[in-house]
Amino acid sequence: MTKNNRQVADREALERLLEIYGADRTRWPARERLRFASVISDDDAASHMLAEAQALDTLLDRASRPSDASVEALKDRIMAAAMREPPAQVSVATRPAASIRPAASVTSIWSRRPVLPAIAPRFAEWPAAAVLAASLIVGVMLGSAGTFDATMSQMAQVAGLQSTASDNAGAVDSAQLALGDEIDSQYPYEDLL
Amino acid sequence: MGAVASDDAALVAAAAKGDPDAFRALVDRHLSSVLAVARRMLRDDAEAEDVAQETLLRLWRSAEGLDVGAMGLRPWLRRVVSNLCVDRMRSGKRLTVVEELPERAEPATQHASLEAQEASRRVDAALKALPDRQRTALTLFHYEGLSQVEVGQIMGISDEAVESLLARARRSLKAALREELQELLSDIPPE
Repeated sequence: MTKNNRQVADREALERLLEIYGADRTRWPARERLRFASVISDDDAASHMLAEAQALDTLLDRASRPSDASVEALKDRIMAAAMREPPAQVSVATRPAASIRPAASVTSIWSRRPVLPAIAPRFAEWPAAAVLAASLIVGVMLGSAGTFDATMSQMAQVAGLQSTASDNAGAVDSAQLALGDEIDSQYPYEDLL
Repeated sequence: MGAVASDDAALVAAAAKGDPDAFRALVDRHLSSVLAVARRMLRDDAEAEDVAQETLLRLWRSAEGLDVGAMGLRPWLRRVVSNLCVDRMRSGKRLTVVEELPERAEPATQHASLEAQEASRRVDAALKALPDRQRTALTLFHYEGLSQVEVGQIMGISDEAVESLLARARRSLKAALREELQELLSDIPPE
């Protein structure tokens, strides 16, 4: 390669280098820095290309920056937004006392449900055995008063089972059981399968 | 670890404990540079402010798990703001494209200051006229000092593609700012 050809090739390579990395030689790859050090010092055209690239970098550094007023206003907005949401991964143990919400006890279900009426916590204090005993007493009272039989009779009617003349629940049960067997025998279920 | 990095680490640790003063100090320290990156990449002041706010709020939310390196918080913030900007540009949910900087009330200043403002405005306009990807590459490389590899990682492109974007961006800027360049070069004394 003649000297002129090499010079042209060097200039083209330098132009490409300056377009990519700009004039700041510390940003150039080390190998290119070494290669072009002598080219720039020996070739006026190469030196001029570097000066042009420096001028462009200077211009780029003149691009405007945000005004102080807008930055300050934005800072306030960011702080307001941040204070609305505590840091997500902060553990309770490391949070300042003022920001710690009382931790709900695992055993106290009521304390985690503040929407319940005020009476609810009183029930929570009852022993479980007392609640069971009360349920038993209510069940016995309902049974002895006959309310349960009347209810069963009404349910049977609603379900389409024919009632007998009397309101005797036991008779209804046995008659309808027999009828049920009869109905079963009328439908050949095997044919349906 | 340098002084800035250790300060950042201490402030991040305090912010992780919910200390609002520590977080405010981090915002004071880093917002300007975060906002500058977002403005250059997005070309829209309102959108840039949204992205800058989201970047700082991410810092607040994830302060506890954050590992502040030897270079301080800036690399992390730069990565977050760049990614948010790239996401916005990719999603096509950009709100507006401002062709020129909005006029702002200018106080009575000296002539030199007005000239400087005018020069800034022309450079801003030239930067804004670049295609998104070229401007992103140039912002990250020139203004943020990221390496070619880092720019490629953020933008999800190869080193060669980064080179191509940077070269095209500078060529376009040279053409757009020809007069300003000639002016600057005439001011430079011959060596």
